Amino acid sequence: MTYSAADRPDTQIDFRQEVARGLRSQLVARQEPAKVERPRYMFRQRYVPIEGGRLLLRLTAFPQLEVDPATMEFEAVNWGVRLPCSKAEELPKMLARRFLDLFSKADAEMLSTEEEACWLKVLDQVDFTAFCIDRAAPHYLEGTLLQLEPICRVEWHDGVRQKLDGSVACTLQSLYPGDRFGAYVKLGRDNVVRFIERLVLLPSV
Amino acid sequence: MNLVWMDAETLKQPRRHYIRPPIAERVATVWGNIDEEHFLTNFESWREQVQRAYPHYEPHKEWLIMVKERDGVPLYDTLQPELRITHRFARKSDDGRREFGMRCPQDSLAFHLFTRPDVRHGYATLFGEIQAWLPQWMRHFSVQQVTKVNLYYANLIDPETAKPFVDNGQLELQKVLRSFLALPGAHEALIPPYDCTATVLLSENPKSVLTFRIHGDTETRLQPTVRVDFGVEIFPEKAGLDADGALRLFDYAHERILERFELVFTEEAKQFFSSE
Repeated sequence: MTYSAADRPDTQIDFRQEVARGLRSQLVARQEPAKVERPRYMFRQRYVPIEGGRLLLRLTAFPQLEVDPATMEFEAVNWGVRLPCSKAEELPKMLARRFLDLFSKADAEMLSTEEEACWLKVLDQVDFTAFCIDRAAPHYLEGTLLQLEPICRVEWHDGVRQKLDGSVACTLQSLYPGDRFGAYVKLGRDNVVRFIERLVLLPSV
Repeated sequence: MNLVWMDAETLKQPRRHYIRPPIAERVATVWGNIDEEHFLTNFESWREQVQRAYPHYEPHKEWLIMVKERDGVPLYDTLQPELRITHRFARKSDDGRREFGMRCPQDSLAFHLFTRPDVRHGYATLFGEIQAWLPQWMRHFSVQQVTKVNLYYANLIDPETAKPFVDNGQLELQKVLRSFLALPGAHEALIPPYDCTATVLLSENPKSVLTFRIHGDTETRLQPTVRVDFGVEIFPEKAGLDADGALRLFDYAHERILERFELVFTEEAKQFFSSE
């Protein structure tokens, strides 16, 4: 049994083209053609990396992309980001840039009216509280180690007592219960300790 | 049920060494569970490591629309179309051709080894790459277990890879293949579209499945081209696999593909593929 490509019938006829060639009469439009809707695509990514992934911008919905068939560009709806379809891989970077640009201007109270409207729309699509917590610098705190095993517990300078998770507790391994210490502490949502660094021992009171 | 469809006589024969197999691409893929947040947090540092060995970053973009068929009528799926971007890296030869590719979607790691008649890579080269990168990938993204492996070989039968079997612009497939040619009725030749796919369960535990696909390459217009693809997919038991376990499964999958290669191609074709 042989297999031939040279003599095979052309199975990929463009029927629309054939019809167009055949019809020579003039076509008259009776009404203005309906505006063709721009197709919308979803970018199925919930996080936008900022600072090389060390900080993530959490989105509350998948970004919607509106494609303009005339220019083959797409726009991230409510973000004010426009890119050629051929450069789609730059979308996460451009979303991060747009967010940082608007955030920085909002912080410096330099938003134009148009940017302010866009910033409000962007804020509707991101978890801004999480972003602020994630990017906040660690605070210097003082406290006393109450116990290390089986559960690590500390009492902070304001009298608040807190349990620390395993990986955070490891930082305090060199301390004994009763030791006073100072450290830079990164807090997360609900003041949960994420990490402790630059530990110093303080003289007991 | 264990191995089926095996020709006992063929399997007893010592394995032949092929100097110029018609293979165009070998793909090895592993899957693991990585959540999106963890993947994106660690991707940039992974990319930095990967690009030392695979310097060309060429992301694969897909604008996907979903179409389903009901009673022969294609309908748009109600799910929204989506843009999918897959991170893809390549190592190229001096003349700019892709030799090795690595794809890093969120839940898997895939290696593509491209072969041409003048460059004789083999399974050992592909295996070496998986062996080097799989433990790093698992460590970097905290993948505890491999949940699936797949090995896929695409063979290309065309005037370049099967020269003696081309006569007057036609591939004499009956001299190359032993399977998927016998069709009932009288006819002069096979012409596009030509597509035969079969899937067999190789073993139940671990569940391993082999897929054959023999099909005319409709992308190629200038010359008759037939692709002969073999893929073996293995699902480990519930507990999953560590890196060593996954590597052993690739060896198993490779053996299964070689067995089928021996059975699907004719003796005449195999002699040609093993001669200088």
